[in-house]
Amino acid sequence: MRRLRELAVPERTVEVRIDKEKCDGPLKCGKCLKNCPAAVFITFPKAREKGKVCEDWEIVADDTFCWGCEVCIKVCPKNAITLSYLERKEQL
Amino acid sequence: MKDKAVIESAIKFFQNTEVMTGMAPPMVEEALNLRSDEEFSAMARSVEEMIRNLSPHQGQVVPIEDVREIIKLAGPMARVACVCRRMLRASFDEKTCILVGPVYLEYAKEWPDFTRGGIEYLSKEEVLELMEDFDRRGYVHTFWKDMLSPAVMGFCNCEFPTCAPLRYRRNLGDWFNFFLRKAEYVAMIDYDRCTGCGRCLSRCQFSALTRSPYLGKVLLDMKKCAGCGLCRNVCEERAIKLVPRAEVPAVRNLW
Repeated sequence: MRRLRELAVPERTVEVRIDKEKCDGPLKCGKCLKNCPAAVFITFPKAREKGKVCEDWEIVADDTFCWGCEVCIKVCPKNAITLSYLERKEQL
Repeated sequence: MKDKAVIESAIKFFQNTEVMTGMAPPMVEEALNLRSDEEFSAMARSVEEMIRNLSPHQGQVVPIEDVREIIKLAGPMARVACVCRRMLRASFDEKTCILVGPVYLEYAKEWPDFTRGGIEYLSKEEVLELMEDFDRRGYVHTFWKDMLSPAVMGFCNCEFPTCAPLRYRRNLGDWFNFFLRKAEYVAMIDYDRCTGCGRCLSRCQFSALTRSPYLGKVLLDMKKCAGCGLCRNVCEERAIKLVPRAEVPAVRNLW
């Protein structure tokens, strides 16, 4: 599993964490989604059912694309987002 | 398709799709639980199989003149909120996707979550007017068909980074071309005419244009150019033209 992850995902330098307990969700707030220049945050309905509209949406961060500008930290009204920076594993 | 590298990138694609859409292909879950090398190669083989079975031509960039031709042939059309922008911006107001034909219109009605923001039915003239407007605003037009059947899906009007396929092509590389293809054309700059004003720079969503201060001209990386024609449409000197990709040997096979 580790090997697959290593070959499949481009190297990350930033880790974006969202505190789900503080977060209001994308439909009420969604400021991180709307302001992120790299469109790192991804949202989708938690339940999919034919003919129905779901009001409970999940937010995840695809931080392989993160540029590290920290705009999300500034716009989040609940301070639910934290960034941590990862060391490069090897020099090219 | 037999390359190990291709298989590995396919796994990368499916993993990212999983995160992206929340629609986990069961294969990805399998891949993450693999333990031995035998399991890995079995998995790789099935991914290879899957790519072969998917049509290699799911979406393609189309310049505005092709859009006009397609609209002439198109069936019923409706405008819905962009599916990618829904995922990446939680935005349902900007209706930049145009569903073409009955198959996806039916699908849209059945899945109201997919078309949050409503379905707006349009005539051919209205669609054409809308597409011209999107062109002026700098969206790249793409035309899509279904992944598993020949059913037509419709037009999208894309931008970096909120168009998923475009963003993934730019960020992950050209192996992604089995999802979004470049247009049948490629832009070419007439360097005698180019004044280096740089008006076209802001129009390129594929990072193919640079202005060289030394030459005082705009440079076009034809290997990156997707042939959308947006830069050509704003060039006041008429220095950029679209030529058929087949006529340019260096990029003829770069999709």
